[in-house]
Amino acid sequence: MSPTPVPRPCRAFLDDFSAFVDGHVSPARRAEIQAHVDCCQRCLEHLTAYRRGVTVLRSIEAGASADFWERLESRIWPEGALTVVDGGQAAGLRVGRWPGPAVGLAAAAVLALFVFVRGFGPEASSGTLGPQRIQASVVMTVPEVPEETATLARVGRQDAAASESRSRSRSQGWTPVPGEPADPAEAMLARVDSRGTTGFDREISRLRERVFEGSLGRDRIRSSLSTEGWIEEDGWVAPVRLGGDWARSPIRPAALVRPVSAVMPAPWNVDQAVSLP
Amino acid sequence: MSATTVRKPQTERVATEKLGDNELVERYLAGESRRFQELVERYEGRMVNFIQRSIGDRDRAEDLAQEVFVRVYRHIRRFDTSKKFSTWIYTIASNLAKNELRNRSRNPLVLFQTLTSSWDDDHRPLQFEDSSMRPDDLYRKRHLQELVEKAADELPEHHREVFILREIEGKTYEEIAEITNTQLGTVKSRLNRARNRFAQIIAPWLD
Repeated sequence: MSPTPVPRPCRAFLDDFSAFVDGHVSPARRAEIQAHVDCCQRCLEHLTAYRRGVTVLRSIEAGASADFWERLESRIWPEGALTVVDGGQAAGLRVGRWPGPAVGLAAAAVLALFVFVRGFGPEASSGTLGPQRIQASVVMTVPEVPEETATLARVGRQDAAASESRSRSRSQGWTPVPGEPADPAEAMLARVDSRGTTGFDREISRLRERVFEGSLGRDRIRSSLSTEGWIEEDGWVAPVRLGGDWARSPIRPAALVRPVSAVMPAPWNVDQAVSLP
Repeated sequence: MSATTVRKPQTERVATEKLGDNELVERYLAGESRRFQELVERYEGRMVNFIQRSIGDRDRAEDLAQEVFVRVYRHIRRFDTSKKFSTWIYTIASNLAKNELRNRSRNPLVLFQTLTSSWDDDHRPLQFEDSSMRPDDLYRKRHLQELVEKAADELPEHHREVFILREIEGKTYEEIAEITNTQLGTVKSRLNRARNRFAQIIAPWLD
């Protein structure tokens, strides 16, 4: 099929073409243009070509692929993100998830603090525990943890490391004691000594002695959390509702929901910190 | 506990289709998380088509449409519900399409998808398109579609954008001005030029 040369339409018609098509010209001007089109072959062909072309263009509808939502869902809520069931409201089971930005934010915050201290602290290479490293320990671990939290934290960590620890245990010839966590490290922490305290308790005590109010202080952390969509409530730091019906749940709090005291050093920490050498 | 995707029942979908876009957004923000999926289902096809017509690449359009909804999800709390949701989402899509074209102009590589999509089109079995049409009619229809798409592609980027928004998406001049961040007069001017140019390109190919 080869194109047929078409003579150029009239200038005045071209100037008002779009307004004429959309009906945005006065009735008088519209009648004038219509009368012209009726007797001008070039302008009639121009108008006909436009209308036919647009009709064809509108008929071409590719649409989205069938798995568009599923792929989008996996991008917004990546597999492995914490899932919280909201109690089966409305019709059937309803599922909410950790908001993607909140997960990323929390992970980035923890990682940044960790790297800041472990990687760039002046004592990083010497092996001594400097003030910045102590600050990181406060964030990465859990000082002053309520017993309920400690239990949940152990359970969460235990869940996350379960498969890995099983294979590690097999390879190292370690046999878990019935009733103890499968992870050797967890089992060590959970084991009760002759004085009735667990390794977990001892770790907390050690941290309490070393807590330091570092450069990233309590107020700064608090304001950062509040502006980035996290709230402090009932002694917990948790993501706020980011548009969905996500609700804080005690199912797996160990991953991201932390006691406030774990993130923001309490006043006693400051008092102890100033007394440190 | 494993993640479970729960699709809303069909009966509920029928009942909620009458909700306006902004109402869906408000309900989603109020905690009805599945309203977001409704928004996606309402706009996914339009977004893919709009972006495809803007950049001329089907696969990339699908990716960018996904990115549109990711951005909607991330920033939906900032959306001013006194304004039209469709204008907002088209603005996001328009900006992404512009970025894509800008990136392409900086990195003028011929996309493999572009080559393969043309090949696919040429080898698409005609009988699957419309069994009620004769092969020669089907050929003419497909040929005309290609010509029309090519004519739209030939328009300058900023003309093509307003042309698509007006002719395909049915946006008002005011909405187009907001989406493209241009003056109303500029929209009218560009649209007139785009329409005339489109007609001039396509006219020689029509009987």
